Amino acid sequence: MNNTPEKDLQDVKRHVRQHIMIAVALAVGTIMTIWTSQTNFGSFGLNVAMTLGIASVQGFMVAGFFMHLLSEKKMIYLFLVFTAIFFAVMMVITFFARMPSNVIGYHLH
Amino acid sequence: MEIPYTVEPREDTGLYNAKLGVWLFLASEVMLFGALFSSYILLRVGADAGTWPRHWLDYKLGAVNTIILIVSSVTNVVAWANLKLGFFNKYRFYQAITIVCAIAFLSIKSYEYYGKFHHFTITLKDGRIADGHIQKDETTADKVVIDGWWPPNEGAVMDPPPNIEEKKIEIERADIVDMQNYGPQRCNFSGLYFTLTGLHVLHIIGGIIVIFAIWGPLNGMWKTDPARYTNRVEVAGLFWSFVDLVWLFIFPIFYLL
Repeated sequence: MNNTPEKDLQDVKRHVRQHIMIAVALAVGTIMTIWTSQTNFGSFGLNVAMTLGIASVQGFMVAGFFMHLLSEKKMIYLFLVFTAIFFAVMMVITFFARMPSNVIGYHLH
Repeated sequence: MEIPYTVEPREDTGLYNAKLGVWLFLASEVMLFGALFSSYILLRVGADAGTWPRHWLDYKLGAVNTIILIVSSVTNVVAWANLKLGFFNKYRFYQAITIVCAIAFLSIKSYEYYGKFHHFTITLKDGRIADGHIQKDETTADKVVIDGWWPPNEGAVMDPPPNIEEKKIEIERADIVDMQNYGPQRCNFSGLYFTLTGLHVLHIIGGIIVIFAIWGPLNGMWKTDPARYTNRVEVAGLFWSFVDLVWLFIFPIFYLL
């Protein structure tokens, strides 16, 4: 027999309910991404922004609740801040590659 | 020798070592997938109009796989929560569902890959283009048989209209100028698709091996050191949720946009 305290049991039941609700929200989010990608908003850029916006919210829910990031230790936040900085730098480098050469200060001729 | 901080947190980090380690690993994973996503952006933005494929992938299959991964993430977390309370059998039950979901995901992905490697675009000497899935049983040394259609031009291959009426097409091999499948060598989109989803599949396989090992062959630790065993389940679960998270971005960029 398991002798887990009643309070812990209630806590876990609450967490399980919460996770199921998050899963439902993620499923709804998936349907919404399909809808936003197929609806004509007048600009393809808007489709991209909305679809990836919803995907980002879904990503936040997975990281925040399933990976318990919303209640983690400071050390992990520190890691992730550095990761975010390096990730942002990598993306900026990507955008530099798309800029005209005179904007970023070098010339081929 | 006893390995320190497998259960109790270190004073300076506030975390047990495995958790610290897995978060560092996940940070490196963000950079790995991030590099591939930035490659996608660079190539996609740089592609000339009409040359980037659309609707090449079946978004319904992608959506089903998304739901499967979401369910697996939930069962994984619920399994860990039950283990925290000492309910080993419930943990085993929920984690078994996680493993089944992972296998289902891989099966659907395999089906998709199979379809891509058997889908051909054939250019004929007279300039016509045929596009469809090869019928291996009927294809011979002299003729190729596909279930497909006749796209009016290259643009229609890149962005095929919905509800194509496919029919059996027989083409003499002597009439073929070029014939290529939808494998990774086809174009930038295909290369990125197979690289990113292939890497993701490797993560799924890695995750399933670890989760299965902890669930089955290594579960004796539950009797000797339950706290450490529970931590192992948590760390594997963090990795699994990350794999789910990555898929939430792969799905829209390849299947929808």
